[in-house]
Amino acid sequence: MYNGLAVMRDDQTRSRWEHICGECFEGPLQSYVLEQGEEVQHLTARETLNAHPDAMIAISRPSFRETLMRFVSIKRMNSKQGFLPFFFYFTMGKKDTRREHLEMGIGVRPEKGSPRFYPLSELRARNKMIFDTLNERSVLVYVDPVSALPDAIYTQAKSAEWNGSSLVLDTGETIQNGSLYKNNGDTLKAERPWHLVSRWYGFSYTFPGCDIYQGY
Amino acid sequence: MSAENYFTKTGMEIVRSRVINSGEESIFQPFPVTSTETLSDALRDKNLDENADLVVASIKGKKLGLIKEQLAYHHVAQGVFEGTPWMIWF
Repeated sequence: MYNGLAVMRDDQTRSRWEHICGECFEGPLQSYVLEQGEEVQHLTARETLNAHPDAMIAISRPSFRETLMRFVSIKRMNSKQGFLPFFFYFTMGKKDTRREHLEMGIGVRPEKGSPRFYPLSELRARNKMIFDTLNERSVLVYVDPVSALPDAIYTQAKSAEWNGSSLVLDTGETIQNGSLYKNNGDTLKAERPWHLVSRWYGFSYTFPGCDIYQGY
Repeated sequence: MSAENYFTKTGMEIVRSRVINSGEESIFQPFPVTSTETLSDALRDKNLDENADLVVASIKGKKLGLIKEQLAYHHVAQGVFEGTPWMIWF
């Protein structure tokens, strides 16, 4: 663990990897960065099925330890308020105090330029959507109304309106269940920037000096 | 800067003395995904609540969901799909 974040270790080389960007910081593979695929999405099971009827699910059989930890700490850690066990703090350096330590949000990292953190509170104050420009590209950051978690896509749209749980863009496209649709209902492949749903401490430790969206 | 410290490409300094090492054994074992079922079956058979929060990944064009609470414990899920090794970390 480092900076209150998990550290990964591979079995083959015993190298250690930070687990936000997947960069090796110790061991034979030091400075390598894991190749990343498409961005993951945070959806409910129902949303996932609605958008991807052939989706698969992997369910682990929880051990006694996992079950115990779920009730002792994981539920609290994943709660809105958040919680960190005391020993997390032993691993942390100087805090970035521009936001509350455990504040939830989404960090977006463009191909070039400074990553930007969008606090969930700012999104909620702006009808759960923010149109922004990052590295000269238009980005829509929004809060999925069902999962209540933020997401980010590149878009040509300049405005949007909520229609129930759908976000209707001024391009005629619609976002629903985390997927992008044409106005005739056909699915479009959404292009997403690298992003991370995270508490402030995790994002700010990983990207020191990152931008914070404050309404431009 | 200590010679032992490491700066990641994002600018984060890894101060070795603050890294908690778990020793030989990892604190959390990865979730080895050796079998999956269709999400529709899992919901139909009530193996999963429809409001369960999932982390959904695309692996070679196929969508794979993992229960967020379980991934929050394991931190890493991994497997092989059509000959391609994959890993999701959380």
